[in-house]
Amino acid sequence: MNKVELLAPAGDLEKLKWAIMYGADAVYIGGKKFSLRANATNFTIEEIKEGVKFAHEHNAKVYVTVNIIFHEEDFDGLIEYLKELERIKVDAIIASDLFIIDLLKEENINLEFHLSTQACTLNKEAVKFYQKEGVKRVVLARESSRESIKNIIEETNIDTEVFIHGAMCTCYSGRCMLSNYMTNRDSNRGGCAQICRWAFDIFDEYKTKLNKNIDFSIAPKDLSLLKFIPELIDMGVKSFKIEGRMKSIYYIATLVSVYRRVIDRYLEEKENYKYNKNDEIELYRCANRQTTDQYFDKFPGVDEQYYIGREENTNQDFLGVILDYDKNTKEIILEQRNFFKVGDIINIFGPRKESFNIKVSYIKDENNELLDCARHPKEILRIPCEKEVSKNDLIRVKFLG
Amino acid sequence: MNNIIIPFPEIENFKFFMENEIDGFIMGIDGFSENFNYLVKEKNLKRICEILKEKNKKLYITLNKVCFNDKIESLRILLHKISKLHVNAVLFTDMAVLNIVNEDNLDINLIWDNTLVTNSKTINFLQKRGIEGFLCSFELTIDEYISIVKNTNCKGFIKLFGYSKMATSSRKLVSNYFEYAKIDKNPKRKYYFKDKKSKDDYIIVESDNTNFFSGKILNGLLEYKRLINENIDTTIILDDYLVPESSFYNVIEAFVALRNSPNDEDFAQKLKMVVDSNCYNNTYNGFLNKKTIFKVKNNE
Repeated sequence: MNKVELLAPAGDLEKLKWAIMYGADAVYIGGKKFSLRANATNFTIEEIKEGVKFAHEHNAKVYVTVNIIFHEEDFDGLIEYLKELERIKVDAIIASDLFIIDLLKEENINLEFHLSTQACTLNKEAVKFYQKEGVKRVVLARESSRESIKNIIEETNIDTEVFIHGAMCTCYSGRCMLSNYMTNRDSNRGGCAQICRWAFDIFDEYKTKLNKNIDFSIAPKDLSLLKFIPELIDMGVKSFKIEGRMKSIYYIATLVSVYRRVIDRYLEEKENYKYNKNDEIELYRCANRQTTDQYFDKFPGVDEQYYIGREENTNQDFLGVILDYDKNTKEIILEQRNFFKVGDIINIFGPRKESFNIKVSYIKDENNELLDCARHPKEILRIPCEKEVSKNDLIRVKFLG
Repeated sequence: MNNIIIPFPEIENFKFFMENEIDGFIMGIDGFSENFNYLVKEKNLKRICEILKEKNKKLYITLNKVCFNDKIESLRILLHKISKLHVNAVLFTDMAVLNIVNEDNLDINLIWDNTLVTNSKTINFLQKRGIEGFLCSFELTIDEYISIVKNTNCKGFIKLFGYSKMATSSRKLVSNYFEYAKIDKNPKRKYYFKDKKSKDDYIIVESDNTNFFSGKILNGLLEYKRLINENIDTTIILDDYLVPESSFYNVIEAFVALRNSPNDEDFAQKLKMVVDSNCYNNTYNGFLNKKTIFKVKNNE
C-alpha cells in the first residue's frame, strides 16, 4: 500500500491543532522570521515548540517554512534560528534558497531540507540536481501535469510533494515581481500583495481601452485534484499539500477531513472505490471559490480563470464549534460563529467520523434563557442532541442530502 | 573590465552592430528563450558564431524559459550543440541546464539568471557546482549588486537599460480574456494594462507565455558610471526588447560614450538626458536606488 502524507497549512497554533485533529499527517507553518506570508500570524519559537510537541504526540510532523529568497541583509540570525528548529525537533524545513543546503552541512544542523515550490521545479533534470544535493523532498510547481509528475517520480524516485487544493499563482512562483513593481512589496520576502487578484483596464497599442464592460483580470480559479487522488496515490506521490496558511479553522478542518476520508477510503478498498460527488460539494461550500484541476489534466485555458471580480461570497455555513457535550441533559455546548435559528437543520462533523444532521428544537444561552435564534458570534449556547458528540466537532449548515 | 552587451539583432542590422563598440551579444534561441525582438533558429547558430568570432565579439546565449518536463530531451540536444560552438557562456534560469551540463560533462560556461539571484551565498553555492557568473534579479539595488559582486568570485551581469520583466505566466492570459469578454481581436504581441488605483501603465505581451513588463524603461546610465568609478568588474546588458530601434542606437552610443569618459559628471548627466529623451522621457530608475519592503506589519 502506498503511504501518502496529507499536509495541511497552519497559520497559527490553534490551526495547527485543528489540522492534526482532523486528520493531517503533517502541517507546514511559518516562523516569525525568514518565512513568506509576512502578513500571517506566524509562530514564535515557543509556539513552534508547542506545535511540534502536539504533532508528535499525535504521530504527525511539522515542517517550518524558511522560504524567503534572501538578500545580503537578511542572513543575521539564520544559523541560530535553524539550530533552534533542530533543537525543538522540527521534522523538516521548506526552503528555496540553496545556500541553506550547505549551511546545514557546515553547521552540522540535522534538519531535513524540502525544496519549496518557489524554486518552480517542473522537470526531472532539475529534480536530479536537487536530489544530488541531498534535498529530501521537492515541492513540484503548480504548473505540473499528470505526465510530468509521473515521469519525475519514475525517473528520480525522490519524495514529491504535490499541491492538491487551494489558490494558484497566475505566474511562475518565485519568479513573480508584480508585487514589487506595483506596490513596492517584495513577493519573494513575504510581501506579496496578490496583484494577480486585481482588476485592470486593458488597452491596445493605440491606447484604446478594450474592456468596455468586463475588467481585465488574470486571476486563476483555485486548484482541486480531488478527482485524481487515487491516480496520484498510485503514481507514488509522497505528500498531498493543501494551500492556505491564512485560512480559517473551518476551512482547514473541512478540507483536511474531506481529503482524509477520500485517501483512506481509496487505500482501504481500492477495487470498490467510487468518486463521491458530495465530497466535491463539501469542498466547494467551504471555500466558495470555483475549482478546476488547472494543469494536471490539460493546459489551462479560458475556463480556468476568474473574470468578474473574485466571484466568491462570504461563507456563512460555519455555525459553531462544539466545546463540550453534557451527557446528563443530552445537550451540545457550543461557541456560535454564524446565525442559525430554532427549526433549522444543521450538520455536525468531526475528525474521522461520518457527519450527521439534527433539527434545532431549542437554543439556550448561558443563563438557560431560551432564544429564537443564535445571532451573536462567540456566544456560548446549548442545543439538544441525542447523539453524543465530541469537543472540537464542528457545526455547519446542512447542505447535503 | 566593464563589458557592454546587447541582444543579438536582426540580420539587416547586423553590420552596424559588428562595427560598434559594444563587446558582444546576448542571444535568444527560438523555443528556449523569450523577450527578444529576434530569436535565433538553432540551425543558424553555427554560422552566427563564426561571424562573431571573426569580429572578436562575445556571445552569450540565454535560455531564460522555464523548462517543462516534456522539453527536457530537446534542451539536452540543444546544449550538446552549444557545447561545440564555444560561446562565451550560457545564461540559464532552470536548474535542468546546470544538471545536464554537469552530467554530460559539456564544455559550457554557465551564468545563472533568475529572480532568485539576490544574494552572494547562493551564487557561491552554485559556483561550487559549476557556474561562473550571475545576472542579478531586477529588484536589487545597485548597492546590493555591488555588495554581491564583492562577496563572490563570480562574474556579475546586470541589466541597466530596457523594460523590466515583472513576471511570467504560462497561461494565455490575453487570449483567454478576449475569448471570455468576446473581444473580436487577434491577440497581438503587446498590450497595456492599467492599475485602476494608481493609473500606472504596464505592458503585457503574449506569445508562448504571457510576460508582464514595467511601463517605463530602466535607465541605469548613472549607475553604470558608479560601477566604473568604483572599479566593479561587471557586464552590463542594454536590452532593446519593445524599444524603438532608432532610439536604441542612440542609447548604445550614450553608454559607450560614458565608458570612454566615466569621470565627467556633467557629461554623464547629459548622456543620461540623451537616453531619457530617446525614450520619450518614459524612463525610470527601477529598484536601483529604491529598496522594496517586505514586512507589511511588524510581527516580531
